[in-house]
Amino acid sequence: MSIRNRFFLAFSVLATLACSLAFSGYLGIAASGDLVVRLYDGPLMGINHARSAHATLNEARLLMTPGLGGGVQSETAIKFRALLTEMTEDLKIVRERVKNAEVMATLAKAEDRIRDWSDAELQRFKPRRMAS
Amino acid sequence: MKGQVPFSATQKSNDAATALDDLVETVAAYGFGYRMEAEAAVSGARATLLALAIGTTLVGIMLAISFSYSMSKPISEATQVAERVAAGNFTDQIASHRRDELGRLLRSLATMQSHLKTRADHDCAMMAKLDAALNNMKLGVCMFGPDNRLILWNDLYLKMYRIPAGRIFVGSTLEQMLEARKAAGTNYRDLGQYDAKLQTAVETRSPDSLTAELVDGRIVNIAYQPVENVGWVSTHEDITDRTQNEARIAHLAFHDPLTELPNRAAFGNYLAETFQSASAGNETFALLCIDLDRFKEINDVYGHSAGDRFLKEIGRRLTVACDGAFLARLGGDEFTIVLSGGTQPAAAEELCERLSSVVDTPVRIDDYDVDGSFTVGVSIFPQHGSDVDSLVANAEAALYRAKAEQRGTIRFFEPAMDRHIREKRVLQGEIALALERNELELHFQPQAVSGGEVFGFEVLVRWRHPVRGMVSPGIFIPLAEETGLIGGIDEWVLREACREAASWPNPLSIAVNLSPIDFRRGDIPAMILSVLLETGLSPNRLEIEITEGVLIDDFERAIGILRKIKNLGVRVAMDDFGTGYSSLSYLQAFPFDKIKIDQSFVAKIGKNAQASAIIHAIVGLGRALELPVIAEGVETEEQLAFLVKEGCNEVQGYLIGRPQPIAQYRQVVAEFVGTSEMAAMAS
Repeated sequence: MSIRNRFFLAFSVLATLACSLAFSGYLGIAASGDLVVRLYDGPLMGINHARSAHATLNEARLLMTPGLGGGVQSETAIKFRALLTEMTEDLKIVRERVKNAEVMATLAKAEDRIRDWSDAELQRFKPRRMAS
Repeated sequence: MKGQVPFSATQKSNDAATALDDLVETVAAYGFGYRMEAEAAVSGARATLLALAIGTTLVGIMLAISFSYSMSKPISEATQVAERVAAGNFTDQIASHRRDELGRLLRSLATMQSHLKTRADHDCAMMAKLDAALNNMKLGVCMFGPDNRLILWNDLYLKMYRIPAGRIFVGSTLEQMLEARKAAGTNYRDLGQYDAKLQTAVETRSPDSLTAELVDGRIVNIAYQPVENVGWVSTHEDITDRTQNEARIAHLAFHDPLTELPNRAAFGNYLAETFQSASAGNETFALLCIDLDRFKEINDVYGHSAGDRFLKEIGRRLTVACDGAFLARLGGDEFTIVLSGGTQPAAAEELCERLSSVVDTPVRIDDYDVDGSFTVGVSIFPQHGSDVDSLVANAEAALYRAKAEQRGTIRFFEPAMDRHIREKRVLQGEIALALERNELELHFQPQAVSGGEVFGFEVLVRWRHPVRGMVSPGIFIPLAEETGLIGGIDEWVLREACREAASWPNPLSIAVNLSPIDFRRGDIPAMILSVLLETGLSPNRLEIEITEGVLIDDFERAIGILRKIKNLGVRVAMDDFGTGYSSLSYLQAFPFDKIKIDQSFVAKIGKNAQASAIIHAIVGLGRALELPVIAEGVETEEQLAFLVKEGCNEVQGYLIGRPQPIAQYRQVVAEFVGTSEMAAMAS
C-alpha cells in the first residue's frame, strides 16, 4: 500500500474517532440539557406549585379558624374563595407540568380532600333556615 | 353557629393538608427520579466520551508506532544511501522490493547512483585523458584561480623548472611558486620584467606573453591567458632550441654554411648600404668579383668533401687577406669583396696584391697539396658604374674578360668591356625574337658509311639575321643557353627536323643535338614523344646527340631521362667523344647507340700522332663494346682512308657533304645516291 493511502487511511480512522467523540459529547450535552429543562419544567415547577397550594391551604385554614379569621363574614367568604381559586390554579399547574400517574392519583386525592373541606367550609357562609 | 368549627370541617382540612403533603412528597419523589435519570445519562455520556478519547489516543499511538516502523526506518535508510551517494560511494548495492513511494525513491536512488557512477566513470576517463593530454603536452601548464592560487599544473611544468613533486600544491601562491623555482635554480634572470608582465596580465585580465631567460641559460616563452569564471592559465614553453635554431636560421639566411662567410643576400644588403653611404659622402669603393679556377676539377679529382674543405680554407685565407673588407661567398666558387675607404683604385690594387699571396701556398687536403688560383674582376665606384647593378655587372665583365684571356689574373673594368656586354645583351634580345620572326633555319649535313652510302643527316640550326647575316652557332647557342632560350630553339629544331624527315620518301635517319640545359628544364622524353606523334616520324629514324655535359650536372637524373628517351625507340649518341675526361665511365653507365669522334681529332689525322692514337683507341673501344663509331669533320680523302683503315665505318664532314638546307639534298632524300654524287652536290 502506498504511503499516501496509508496516511489517508490512518487520518481517516483518527478523524472518524474524533468525530465520534465529538458527536457523543454533543449527544450527552444535548440529553443533559433536555433533562435540565424537563426537570425544571416538570418536577421542580410541580413541587413549587404543590408547596404553593399547601401554603395557600394553610392560609385558608387560618382564615377559617375562628377568632383568627376576618371579622366580616362576607369579606372572609370572598378571601376564602380567592384562596380556593389560587389553590386550584396551583394544582392545575401541577397537573399540567407533572405527567405521572402516581402524582395524578395523589393530586386527584388532594383535590378531593380540598374540595370536601372547601365545601364544608362554604356551608358556613350560607344563611341558616329557621327550624319551623 | 359562627365561631365554632365543626369537627368534620377541621378533619377535612387536615385531610386536605395531608393530601397536599402527600402531593408534595409524590412530586418530589417524581423529581428525584428525574434527577437519577439525568445522573445516569450524564454518567453514560462521560463514559462514552472517555472510551472514545482513550480509543482515539490508542489508535493514534498505534498509527504513530506503525508509521515510525514502516516509514521512518526506510526513509532513514534512503537518507543514508543518499548520503553515501553524495559522498561519492557508488559501489553499495541499493535494493528495495517495496512497492510504495519509498521503494520508488530507493530504486530512483539506485538509478541515480548508476547514472552518477557512469558519469563518474566517464569523468574519470575524461580526467585520465585530460591528465594524459596535460602531461603529454609540449608546454608546461599552470592554472590559477581568481585568487591567484594554483589550481592545477602538469608534469612538464615541474620538469621544465626542475621543481620536485610536492614542492607546490593546490592553493600555492605565486610567491611560493617563485620560491620553488628559486630553490630549483630555475628562476627568471630578469624577475622585474616577469613580475611587471604578470602583474599587468593579471590585473587587466588580458592575454599577454613574454620571453624570459632562466638563470640556467634556458629561454622560456610564457603566455598568460585569462579564463572566464576560472582565473587564468599560464603556459610555459622551453624555446631554447627553437631560439637557437632561429638564430641559426637567421645566420644562415645571410651566411654561407660552409665557409661561414656572408652570402649573396648579405652581400646585396652590404653593397646597397655601401653604395648609399658612398653616394651621400662622395666616397669611393671597389667591388671585386673572385672566381676560383678549376674548382670543378678539384671536386672531381679529390671529391666534394675535399672540395668543401678547399673552399673553407680559401675562405679563411681570403678573410685574412681582406683585412676588414667585406668578403662574401656568392655560391660555388664565386667570392666577392667590397672594399670601402681608402683611395681607389690604389686600395683595390693593394688588396689584389694581398689576394695573390692567398694561393701562394697549396692547400693541404688529406695527403695532397692542392694548388689553387683565382681570377678577379674589379670595378670602382663611381668611375665604373653609377648604380649597384652596373657596378656588379662591370666587375663580372672584368672577371669574364680575365677568365677569357688568362685565368689567375686580375682585371679592372674597362669601358670596352661594357660595349661588349651591351652587344651581347642586344644579341640575347634578338635571339628571343628570332623564333618569332622565323629567322632560324635548318641545315642538314649528311652522314654516310665509308663506302659513300648516305644513311642519315645531322640537323644543324642556323640563324639568318636580317642585318648581321648568318650568325655562327658558336656565338648564339651559348647566348641562348645563358638566357634559357635554348629549350625553345631545340624543340623547334626537333619538331621541324622530324616534320621534314617524315616527308622524305627515302627513310633516312636524322640526328638532332640537345643542349645540357634542356635536360635541366622540362620533360624531354615527353617533348620528344609529342613531336614524334605530331610529325609521324618513326622513332628509329631519330637519333639524339648529347655531350657529356648532360651527364655532369646530375648524373642519375640524366641517365633516367636518357633511358626514357631510349624506351621511346629513339637512339642516343655520345657527341664530341674524347674531349671529356670521364667519357668511359659514361659509356659504362648508359648503353649509347653510337659514339661520335670529335672533329678536333679527325682534323689532326696525319699531323698529330696522339690524335691518330686516340682515334685508334676510340674505334677499338667501339668495336669492343659493339658500338658504331662515327667520325665527324672528315674533309679529306686521307682522313677518310685513315678512318677506313682503323675500322671506322661511318663518317660525316665536308668530304661527304656540307651542312645545307634540305633542298640541296632533295635527290638524296628522294632516293639513294652514291658518295661521288653527294660530293658533287655538296660542292
